[in-house]
Amino acid sequence: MSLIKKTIVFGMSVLASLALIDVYLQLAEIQTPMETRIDPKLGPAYIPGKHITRFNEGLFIGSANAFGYMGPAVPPRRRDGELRILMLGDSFVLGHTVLPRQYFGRVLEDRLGAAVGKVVRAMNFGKADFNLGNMFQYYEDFASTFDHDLALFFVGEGDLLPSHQVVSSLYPGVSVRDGRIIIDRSFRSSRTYRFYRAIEPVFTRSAVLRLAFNTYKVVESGSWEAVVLDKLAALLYKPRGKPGSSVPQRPQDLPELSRAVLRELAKDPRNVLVLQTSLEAGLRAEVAAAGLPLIDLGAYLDQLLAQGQDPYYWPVTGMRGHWNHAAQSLIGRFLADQITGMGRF
Amino acid sequence: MLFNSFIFFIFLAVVWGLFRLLPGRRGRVLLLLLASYAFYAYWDWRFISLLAISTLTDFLVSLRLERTEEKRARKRLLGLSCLINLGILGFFKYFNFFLDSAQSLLGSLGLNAASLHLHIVLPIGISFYTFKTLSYTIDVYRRKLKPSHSLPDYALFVAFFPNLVAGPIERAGRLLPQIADLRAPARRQIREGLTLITLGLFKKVLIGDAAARIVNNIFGQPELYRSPELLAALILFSIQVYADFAGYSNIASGVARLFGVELMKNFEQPYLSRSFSEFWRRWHISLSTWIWDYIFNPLMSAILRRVARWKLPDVKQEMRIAYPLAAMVTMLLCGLWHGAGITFVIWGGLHGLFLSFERLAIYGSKSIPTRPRIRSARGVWRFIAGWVSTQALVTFAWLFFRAKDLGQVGYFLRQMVHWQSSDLTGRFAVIVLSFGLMVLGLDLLEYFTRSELYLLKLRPAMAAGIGFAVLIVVALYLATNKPLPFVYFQF
Repeated sequence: MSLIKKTIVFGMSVLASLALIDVYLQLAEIQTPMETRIDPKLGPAYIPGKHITRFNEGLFIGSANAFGYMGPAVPPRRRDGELRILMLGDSFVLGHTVLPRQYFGRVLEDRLGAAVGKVVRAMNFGKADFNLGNMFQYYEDFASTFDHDLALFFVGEGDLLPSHQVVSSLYPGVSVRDGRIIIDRSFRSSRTYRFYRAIEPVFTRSAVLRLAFNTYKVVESGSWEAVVLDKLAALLYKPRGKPGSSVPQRPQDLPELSRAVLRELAKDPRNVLVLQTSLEAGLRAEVAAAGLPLIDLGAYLDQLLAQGQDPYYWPVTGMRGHWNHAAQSLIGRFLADQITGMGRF
Repeated sequence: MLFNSFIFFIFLAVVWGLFRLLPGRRGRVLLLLLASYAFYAYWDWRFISLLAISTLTDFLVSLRLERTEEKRARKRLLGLSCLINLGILGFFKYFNFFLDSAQSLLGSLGLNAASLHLHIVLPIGISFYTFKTLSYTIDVYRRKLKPSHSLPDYALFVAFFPNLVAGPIERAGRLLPQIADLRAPARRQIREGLTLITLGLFKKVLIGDAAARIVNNIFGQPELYRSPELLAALILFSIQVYADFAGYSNIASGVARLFGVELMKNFEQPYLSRSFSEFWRRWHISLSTWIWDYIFNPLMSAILRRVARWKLPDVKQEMRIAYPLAAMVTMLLCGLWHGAGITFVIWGGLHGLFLSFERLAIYGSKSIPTRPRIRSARGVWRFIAGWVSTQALVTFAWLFFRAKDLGQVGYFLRQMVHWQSSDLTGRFAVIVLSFGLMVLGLDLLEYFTRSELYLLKLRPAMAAGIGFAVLIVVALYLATNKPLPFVYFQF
């Protein structure tokens, strides 16, 4: 066989094998393809009906619903006698660490439903890495179109004092000018946006390409040394950090953007802020001054921790991360009790 | 150092490069010995001493055995080797198990024993190299094998890193002559070695590890999952344990072949078996032949000698008594070898029970063929019935192997009786089916081509293309998912 023929056979075999392995990876849910497409209005948005599987801390096997958010498909138009709660937040709210039925939203629905005697829908609009600005934009452009009774905004200290925003060249930017909140959609003219739109048809269908993308993220984050060199990485490489830099100083005061968003949200009595971590007294006072009703989930979680029940510990994987199974159940109950206590329904 | 980690392949590349550079056999043996000890020390350098003690004991005992003619003295020497090897194994692996069992027995008799539980770390691979050294001394004792006079050769036989921590439990009769004639590998061996490594990585990483992520989550907290999910986890575990161990064995064989050494085949499509005797001829072959040679056969002979005194009418009746007894004892010990826990003992006991029942009630004294010959429609049904019942019982027995304790087994069985449906049943069914068909497909390829190197039966460019694609995906997977240790490392 000539060299050209051999090369063609080799190349075809590689491609055919990759395609077959891709099918296997998807069917066995070892790796699901990219589950988001780049929406010109929202940035990355879940593809309706797309299967998603995660194994990071716990086991998540679920899918985005027909309307493009997580959990049971609840259409924009409300049914009679139904109570709707929108939940906006980061990966904690997204809940990609437990099975959908173990998610705190389901516990909240059951407990609150039993308390008020109505069908309660807790709708999951969580997105990984979201901060308050992102949540506001997502709420304005998407979540608020679902006729609701209550909107819970889950924030931690990092969301109020954001050090970064999720990839700005793919997401609408949120800023404040003359006291007004501006949503900037210039991301649509960026090269990254055009690139992602171009590769989207393949990336959202291929598990192997998703693996390649994940690997790129590992390399980009600089953690490849530990992956490749295992124990030896600690001996050969010193921990990363710029010379002379120390722990970044966070601003003492609430940034203007967060203040403006909180003020804006406070105008609608249906909005409630859920503090998912305890805040420093000064910061908390500033947040409270915005006039939004508060639910102090952080204090409750601290209390659990003090009682020896670590809500962030995953016994199977031995990791600390998002809320574990026990915490999901307790948080669902806690939120239901807090909402009942507010006397809204 | 896990076979399914990048650091192992860096280590392998360095050792292989040096191996190719060294001209003489002696240098190569010393290099591999050094590499093997470094490989073992990477986990925990303190346990190197155990490996060295086991090696020196059997090396010296075997030399002494060669020079000793007197029967009682030879027995004493064999006893000394067993005492040291099994003593180390017993202390590190079974001390707490027997202590806990004794305490609970005393407790059930109303006697309170002071709680004693030592925090003992199990040295990795101890069961494997102990069996390797024991079989060597026993073979020398039985005069089936001439002892090695070269300490480096013998030490390499014990510590050879490709099969040090999880087998195959290679016999000295096969491995020592290859070490005594250690050469640079032939091109054929390199090609075969790389093929086996690629196939092994596919099985281990993309089947075993991938299934383990679901299995570990569900068996870690079974109370959070419903009946179909628990059942899926059990079936996935049976796939995981096979893909994991067969993948490991493929990689071990492949790596050994890169150094010109050929290891025995450890698996021969066990999930195609239609009977338990066939299953044990195909599953973990190096262990099953070991226990056959050193436990079952001597035990069977001893029982038959005793039964012969009863003057039964025919040999068949003697066999009917001897076989179940020998099979039960052997399989209970086999279970205990796997792990110091009552669940492992029950797993072994179940296999002993199934083997005995099959021998007495179904096959009698007929031999069970390795490759089925189906000549009629009835034969097809018989094949299907045999296959389904064997695999169902094998999977059921895996529950005891995987469960943390009997409480977990009980919970699992209760969930199977009081069936609780799940909205994820369809998803789990597709997952299980995909993993199952992949394993079955690979096994059928091996079965029909009668070779574990079926890839090499294709055109070289095609085989290289498939192998390259597999390695790309494995590397991408390993870059983003922490490599999981092999299931059998804990034994």
